[in-house]
Amino acid sequence: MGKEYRLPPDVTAAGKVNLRVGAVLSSQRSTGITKRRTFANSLVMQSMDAELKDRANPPENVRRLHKGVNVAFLGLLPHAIRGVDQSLPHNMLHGFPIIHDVPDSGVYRATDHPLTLDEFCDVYDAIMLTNEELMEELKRRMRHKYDAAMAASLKGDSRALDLMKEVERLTLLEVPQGLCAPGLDDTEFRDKFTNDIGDLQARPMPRHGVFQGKKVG
Amino acid sequence: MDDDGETLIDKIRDIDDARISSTNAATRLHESLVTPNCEFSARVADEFVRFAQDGWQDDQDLFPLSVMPELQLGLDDIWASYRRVPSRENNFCAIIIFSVSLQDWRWFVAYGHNFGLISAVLNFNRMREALCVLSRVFGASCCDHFFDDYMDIIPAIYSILFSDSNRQHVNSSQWCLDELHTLIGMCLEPTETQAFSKRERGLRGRS
Repeated sequence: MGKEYRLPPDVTAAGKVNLRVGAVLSSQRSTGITKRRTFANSLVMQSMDAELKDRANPPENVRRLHKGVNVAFLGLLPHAIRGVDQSLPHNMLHGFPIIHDVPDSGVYRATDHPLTLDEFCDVYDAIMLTNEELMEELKRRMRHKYDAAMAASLKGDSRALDLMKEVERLTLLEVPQGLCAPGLDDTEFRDKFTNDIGDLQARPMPRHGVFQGKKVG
Repeated sequence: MDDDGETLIDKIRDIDDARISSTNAATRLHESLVTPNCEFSARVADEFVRFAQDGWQDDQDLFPLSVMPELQLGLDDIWASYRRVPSRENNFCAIIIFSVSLQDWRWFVAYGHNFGLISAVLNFNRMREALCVLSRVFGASCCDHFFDDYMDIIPAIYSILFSDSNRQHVNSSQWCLDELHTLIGMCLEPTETQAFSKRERGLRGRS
């Protein structure tokens, strides 16, 4: 049996406020949002946001995604409510760490990683030595997957091939949506991610399609 | 067809395999995600029953003592969830597909997080968690989120004061959550919004 589910205490508190304050709450929300909107869109906040982004000078991918985000305003909100996630605005400005030793945000349940930092760094370094090998292995696997899908299709079962086509379509769709850089061929990929001494600095993942329930057509 | 007679089609999602690439093995996390479970709505309703029985309400013209207020549930979603959270190490967000049309491998680099990275789960949910807390504090929203799906519960009597041509439930707690997203610059997906209702079709991603 898992632990009994409990509501976050501020949900319970919000429920009490609903009943205590009553119908006036709607106008209080409206007033509060209007004030915050005026503040968020003020010249001071807009120029602070622009300056923060300019000074941060993040990589292109981060710049693209935080372009429409009001990082300056976001930076004030956790302080306003004494929130625990003080590094959220910083991460929105510079990008969130996704690999190696990811710092604790303090938001969720603390856990102990089975490896010490030194042990983990050894594992990490060993993995990074195989970037080139991984790239070739993934190419082999993806080619094999396509060959198998094509063979099945020729025998009358096109489901795997159709799924591969759909994955390609969905991936290509992300480019005009501003979520992904245009596709690269092998040479372009290597050029982009190989350092001065010839080491591949990227670790790609194979993309697959999975069926996830149903949606309204 | 579903219960409402609408045609249902398979939902296909792209998954990036960070296990095979050992990207997840090269990631050391210090926390574990905590999500609400299916009891959320029932637990909130239970709290309202308790409040009503305890005579919490001051507005007794609308809520006579010990009368359980009718509750409504609103649902929201966010577009392109993980993809919109910028990653610091973009070189680990590359993916490979075999292009059927080009008959060749193609490499793509996502600007945000890949669906498959263990760090993506925590990083994406941090923003959702912050926005839920802000909406609870600023708007008294009884809201929570299950990944990119928001749930918000409100006494029915307070949910509709007036509406304009574009939006229902202006000034509701669901509206407050929506406005906070807009102020920060990460708008909710309007086509996925299910405004407060006594009957909901269920959370997105049903199976």
